[in-house]
Amino acid sequence: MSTGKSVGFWREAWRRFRRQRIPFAAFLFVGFLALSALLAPFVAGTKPMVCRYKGELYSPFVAYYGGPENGVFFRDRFRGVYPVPLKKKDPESWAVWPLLYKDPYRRIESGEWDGDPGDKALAPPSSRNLFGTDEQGRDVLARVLYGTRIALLVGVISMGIAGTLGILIGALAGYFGGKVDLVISRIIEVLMCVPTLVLILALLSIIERPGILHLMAVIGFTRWDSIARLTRGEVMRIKASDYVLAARALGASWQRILFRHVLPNALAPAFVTIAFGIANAVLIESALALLGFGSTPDSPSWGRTLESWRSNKDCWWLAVFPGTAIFLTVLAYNLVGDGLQEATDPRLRD
Amino acid sequence: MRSYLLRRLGLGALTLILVSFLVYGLIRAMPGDAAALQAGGGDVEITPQQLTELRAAFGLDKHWTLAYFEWAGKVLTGNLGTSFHHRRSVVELILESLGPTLLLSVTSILLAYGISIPLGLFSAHRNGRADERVLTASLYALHSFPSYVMAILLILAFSVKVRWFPVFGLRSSNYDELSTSGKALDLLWHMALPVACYTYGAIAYYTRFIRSTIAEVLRQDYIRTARAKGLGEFTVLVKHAFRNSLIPFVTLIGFSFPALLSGSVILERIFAWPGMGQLFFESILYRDYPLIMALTMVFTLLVLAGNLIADLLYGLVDPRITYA
Repeated sequence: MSTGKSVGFWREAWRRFRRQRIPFAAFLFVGFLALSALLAPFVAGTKPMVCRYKGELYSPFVAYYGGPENGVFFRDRFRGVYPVPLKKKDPESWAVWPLLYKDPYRRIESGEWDGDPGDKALAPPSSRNLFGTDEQGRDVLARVLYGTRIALLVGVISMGIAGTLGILIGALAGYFGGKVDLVISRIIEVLMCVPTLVLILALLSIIERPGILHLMAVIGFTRWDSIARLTRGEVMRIKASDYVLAARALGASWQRILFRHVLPNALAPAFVTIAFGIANAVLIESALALLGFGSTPDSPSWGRTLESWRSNKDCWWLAVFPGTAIFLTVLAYNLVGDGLQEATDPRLRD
Repeated sequence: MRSYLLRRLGLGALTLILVSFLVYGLIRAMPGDAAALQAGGGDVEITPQQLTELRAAFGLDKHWTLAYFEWAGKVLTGNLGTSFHHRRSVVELILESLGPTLLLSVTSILLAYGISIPLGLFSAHRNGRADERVLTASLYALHSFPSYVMAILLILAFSVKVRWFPVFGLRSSNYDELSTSGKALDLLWHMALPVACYTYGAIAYYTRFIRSTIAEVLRQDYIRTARAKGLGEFTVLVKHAFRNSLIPFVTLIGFSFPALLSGSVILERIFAWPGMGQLFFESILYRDYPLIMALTMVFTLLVLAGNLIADLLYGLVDPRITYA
């Protein structure tokens, strides 16, 4: 982001951002969410982080990162369950387990540990399941924890697409003006006139089996309008400044002027909007999951846990914990967005 | 004024055409066959004869530009086609569901304005004090609180734990036996939770908005003049400051309408409210393309109408603006 001459602006913005206590705390919370997403398998999981089995060291929990499970566990018929088979098939074996023996994708059956009764379906919060269990007996805490991964992914990917598109399109419209601007502005207006969810659902309806990737793409390709609008305005403003005239007088190409001189200074409003956009993307993903769209029923999306509340209305824990997670995430991104706005507003500079 | 209106209407029509073209084109551009997809997507069995019917209804047997113009021609004559799933006229279905949706959204807008204006004035007046800061912070949190989570929590608290409000629906089962006032009360009783979910976010947003615009207005010279000539704080706030902060405030209608309609898709689903949001959601589930197309257009039309109303109000509250 900060290339060459624009370093000063962003360093200044960062300094001013850090001085605001609440937005900075929210920023740290976003970091904490990212860390939870990354380290979820260390906290909750049913696969050992490290284990020694028949003289070899393995790390079966890489499965939670999309890694392959070692073939030896297939051959020895572990069937995805480790504690008892490990001891039975190799009494010498040892394993280091995640903090909680819970799985976001399946319930804990009885006898997975010697003499363990297993998890019941729809169990209220207790010392055994801190956030209770859902109708399939899956631990809600594990699901909420793994849900941070989906929220993070949706936010980053969809706003990555929307940000790139919005900044590029807005920059072109603002820089060239005239017919280019007319066409682009018209498209932006059209996008703004269709209610968000209506447009997203209409687009999802033309995909045969809409999954979470489609959803992220659809959010990305529909939510760039305000980013483009703001970038366009900033570029138009900066284009008229003296240093751009100077660059032009020196014979710089339009690409160089736009991408080296104008755009780096025009990005602040776009980043503010992207922060709000991430909050919105998380909201949309969970809302659609709640309605049964996007992520698969198995996926630990927060919206999916909310959905399971709809058929079990007495189980408050199915609503309260994922609901709080969505709220805190949205709140944190909104606060970061506001803080960013405050920090980059030139009128407030001291 | 008239030429302004005509231009706006023309632009609105252009937007509608572009939206319809976009959605139509996308539906046609997708891999596979809309009719076959529809057959696979819904729960209803579809006979081969119905499949050909669907293909013809959607113009799948023609080139897509030709089919689009044919469809658009029908729309202009008020024929939006027949719903695949409901097997009824799309116009009828939409007219039935428009009322419940507008009932919620218009009530919510009016309520939000009615509550947030005094709240905003109060917080501008108490700026910087403890009560204002608590209010502002709680409103900020409320603004970030997802409406569907609120809906679920409200249902949990008021319909499941204590049974004060119905869990969902528009009417009680004994609605037809009720007297007129009983009917109205029954409707209000069913509306309470959905309207609350639609409204609190807007209240939070508007209040913050009023507070900041008034804070700006309060710095103007004429406010100092008003205070200097000994007017009370209330008169200064309401007569001098508030009236001048109205101008940006009315444009908020234009912004809040799309958000409300977007929210209706989720909230109507949660509350099983028989409005357009719910109808739209069902049309997506069943891949009911005539209904999807028509509802997308109606939603867009409502947003355009909201924008137009906001702009006209803008002229109404600010005499400096003329639409000559």
